[in-house]
Amino acid sequence: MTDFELESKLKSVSVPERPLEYWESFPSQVRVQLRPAFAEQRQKPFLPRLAWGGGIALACLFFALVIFPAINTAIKNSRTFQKQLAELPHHLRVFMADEHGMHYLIADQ
Amino acid sequence: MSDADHEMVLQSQNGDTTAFETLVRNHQQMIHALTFRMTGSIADAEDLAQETFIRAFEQIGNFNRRAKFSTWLYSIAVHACLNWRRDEARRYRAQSRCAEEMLVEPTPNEFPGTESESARQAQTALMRLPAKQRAAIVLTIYDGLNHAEAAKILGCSETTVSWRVFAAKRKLKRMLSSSSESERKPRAENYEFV
Repeated sequence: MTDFELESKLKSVSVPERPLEYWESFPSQVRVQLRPAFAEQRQKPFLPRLAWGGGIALACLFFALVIFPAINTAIKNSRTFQKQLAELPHHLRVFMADEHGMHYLIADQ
Repeated sequence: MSDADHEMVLQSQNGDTTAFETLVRNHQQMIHALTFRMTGSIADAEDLAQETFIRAFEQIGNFNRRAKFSTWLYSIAVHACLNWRRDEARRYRAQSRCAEEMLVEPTPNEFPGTESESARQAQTALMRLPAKQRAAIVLTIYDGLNHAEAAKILGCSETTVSWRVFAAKRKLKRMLSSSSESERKPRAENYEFV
């Protein structure tokens, strides 16, 4: 069977005819169902937007109050460590971190 | 998009249901034809056409006015049909055992739009294709869209559409060549759902 024969055979399938009344009433049937759909559509968008906005604001607050200070402290400690390492290259050192910050001990060789 | 459609779309985007009713009137036959070819059932085609227009109204705010309204509407209808096929496949699996036992033969009124035996065979073969391949055939053969336009509607690449059309034609040729033989087999065994 060639492509042409196949297409001819497929095109011989017609769509069933519907009465004129059906075509006249169909748009209004759809329209009746649009009213509640449109009402929902107008009410819906606010809640998801509010939820997303609130969620993003909370995430920003969490980052500013918890994560950013922790990262900042870690960077400061790292700089201190690098600085002391450069100043006292031949001494035995122990670095400690507690609630007061970074401490180090120096021992004679 | 025609000027008339453009104006109606604009008004529909502002919530004017009367304007949208005009759009429905202008495109209802095209959408019914598509949903019938995708389902092979008048009742399902009517439900899906209605569902298409309701979804279109819900999403009309997102419609880009520079695009073609009929293409956008087509896309909604095709996806509604593909989802319908998935639901139908679930229903089918639940009932398949029963159907196999009953060995239901297709009745002459199953596809009421067809006139001849040849057309009935073609419609049956079309319904046996996987839904995405059938959609590619409906868009390219019945609606005369090129592969690029069909790809846009189906949301896939042009190559994918070309492959689906090729695979579908190969299956259709095989089915239609051996239709007399396959008709003797139980109908439930010949359905393929994807």
